[in-house]
Amino acid sequence: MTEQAQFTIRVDQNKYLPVGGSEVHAIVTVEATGPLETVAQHAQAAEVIIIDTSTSMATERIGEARKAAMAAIDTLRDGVHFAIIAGTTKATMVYPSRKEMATMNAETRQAAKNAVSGLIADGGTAIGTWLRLAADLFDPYQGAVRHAILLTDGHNQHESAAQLDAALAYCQGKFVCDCRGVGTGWEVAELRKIASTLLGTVQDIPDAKDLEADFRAMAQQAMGKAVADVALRIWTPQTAKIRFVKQVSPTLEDLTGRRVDSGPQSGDYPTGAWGREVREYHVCIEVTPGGIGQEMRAGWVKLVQPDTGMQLAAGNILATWTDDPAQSTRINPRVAHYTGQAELANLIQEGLQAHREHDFATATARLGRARRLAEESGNEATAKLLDRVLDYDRATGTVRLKPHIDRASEIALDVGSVRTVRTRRDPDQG
Amino acid sequence: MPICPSGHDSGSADYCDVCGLAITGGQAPATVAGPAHSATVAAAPPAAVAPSPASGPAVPQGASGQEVCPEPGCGTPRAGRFCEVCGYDFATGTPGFGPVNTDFGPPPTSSPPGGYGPHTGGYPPPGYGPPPGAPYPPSGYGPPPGHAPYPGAPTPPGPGTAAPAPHGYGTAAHPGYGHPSGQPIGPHGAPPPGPGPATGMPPGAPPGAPYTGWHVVVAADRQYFDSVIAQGGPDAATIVFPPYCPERVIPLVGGQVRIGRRSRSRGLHPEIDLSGPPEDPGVSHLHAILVAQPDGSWALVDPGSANGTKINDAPDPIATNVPVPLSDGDRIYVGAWTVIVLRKG
Repeated sequence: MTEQAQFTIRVDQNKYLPVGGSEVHAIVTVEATGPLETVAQHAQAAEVIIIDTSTSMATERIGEARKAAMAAIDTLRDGVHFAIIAGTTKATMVYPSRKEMATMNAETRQAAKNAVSGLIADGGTAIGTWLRLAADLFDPYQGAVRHAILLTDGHNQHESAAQLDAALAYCQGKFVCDCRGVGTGWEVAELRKIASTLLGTVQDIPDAKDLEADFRAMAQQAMGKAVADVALRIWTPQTAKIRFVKQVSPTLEDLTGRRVDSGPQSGDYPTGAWGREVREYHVCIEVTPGGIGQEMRAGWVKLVQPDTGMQLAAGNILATWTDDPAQSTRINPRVAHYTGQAELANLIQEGLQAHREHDFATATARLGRARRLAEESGNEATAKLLDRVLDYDRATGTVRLKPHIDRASEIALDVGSVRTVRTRRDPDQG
Repeated sequence: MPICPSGHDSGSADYCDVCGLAITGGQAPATVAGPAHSATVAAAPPAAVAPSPASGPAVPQGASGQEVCPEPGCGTPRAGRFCEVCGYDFATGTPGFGPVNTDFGPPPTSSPPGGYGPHTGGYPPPGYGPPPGAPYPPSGYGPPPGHAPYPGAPTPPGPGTAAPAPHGYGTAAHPGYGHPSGQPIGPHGAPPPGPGPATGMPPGAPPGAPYTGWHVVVAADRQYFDSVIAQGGPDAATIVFPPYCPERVIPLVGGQVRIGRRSRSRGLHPEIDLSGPPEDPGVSHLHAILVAQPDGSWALVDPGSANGTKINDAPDPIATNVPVPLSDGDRIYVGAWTVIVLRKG
């Protein structure tokens, strides 16, 4: 039993509440450790690569997409179940030709690469149909690490938003999907919705030449996943209410609405598959205030595999009522940090929205404030993205929007806005 | 099977499976409904800290020693201060208002000036610190958990009457709650000196937390607005002074009062909510926090709002994350036009 992934849960909070206080905040850090690479080697895995072959791809993009898909195929290890889908207004099997998964070996690897090399860009874009086919392909592989790569270059124009929503509802929980937008003709909000629902990431690839490296990295990461279908299970006291559950690192993702009741007073929040990684969650629970000196478990956070019922780790979110303001007014530094990171993302979203509406005054104000906040919180990546759209005078703290903001910079900032940094100092101070 | 201080059977031995309360070793939860309970009755005389069943509402117990709701036909096991089913108030013995804390204002026996008010959540376990009905020393700091109730703690002086408060809020002796014991209210029924219910509590106080004797008046200030616009921020040209902005009075309740704009997505519901209408566009979601001080006064902290916070006539915003002590009548300026005036009493 040594060949097992291990998980740890750490809870950072100030458990002290003032008399009458009812709102408990905590940052829950979940870390996967142990011989994950060995475990991942032997894990069952299924991978679907979805390539947009709409007409707009018919530039150098389709060539780069072919190369990228081949790189991903080369990265998948033998024994992995896999399939390649071409997407237009409908979804077409590229490899294998029947609607099923192939098992990776030297022969299927070569055959798949041959099939990919014949991809032609001609058609429209209906992403929902692509995702539905992928979900059906994954169906026989419950329990395996199920991962899809979705590449598109345009927005979902041959399908209504309602159709996409219905497809997402159909696919939710069936696989994890990382989305990649190549060029500047795609909608960040659309891909973000897909990636959020399917617990994956969004990345902008402005230059198609970078696709190959990115696909290889994604496939590598998928091969590094050791444990599939992990959920955060949160128990709360009888009279308590969960205000929100948000993933705050590595990216911001609100999971509050994703709750699935898993028992009396407890609910599961899906987190997808895990490799060697650390993720952090901000949990806010409203409890019935207790008396001075009383201690309460406001939340019991467990990492579980809902299918098997296996518990991987657990931690306590506590509440203690005190009449000592020195204790109750102290804000836990990690809670403060991630509240700030959420505000940063919010300011960027508001600023970009204002910019789209040509309200440049508001855009300047919001993005300028975001720039200062990014610097203060040590989020250099976001600060850099902001510097692509505005000029920042550090000495005076003033900002000015760049007279011309190109679409690629706007997309990069939008995509990057949900990425957070972890607190710099290790806060082991209780 | 472990039993928690509220009387639930719990599968886990550290915290209750039902209500989350810490389960401490060596306690006899079966005694929950006994003497310790009676001390939560606000009007009980100090002697009631000692066993005195007559001074508290008669609370029945289930066969297992678990406290159950005494309302006819109810009998629900106790989970907190109020019955989960009929809303019976275990602390005062009041039947079914529904599960709403109707306990406005500080109980006269427990709050020295600047101290903290009643125990709002229920859960009076034995062996914890003094139940909230018990007097605290004027410092407002409680004894450590596990301490016996203070036997000789000072009681606030008072005229010795329990006149109903002029505003009709339940105050001194929870008028209208009825005390089954029929005890005279005695000296403890008197309002505490200084700010208290008798001086009037602004309307709109949310239930469930102690009122501190302070409130704020929120209004739109034309002069401040003009000065903001004159400074000409990037948004300045697009902001107009609200033609209609009624004054609002908000009581300061609890240890921290947040000033900001509510955000559902971020779970922020500041007590002083400036999201209107009219919404002050210059206010951050979490703009500033009023923090109760040990001496009963208030301080203001700006955790890093976008546009800063000014106090009175100071030309510069206050420093980020540095508490600034306030006194009665101080004006807090936030956003584009909002002035928040701190008032005592």
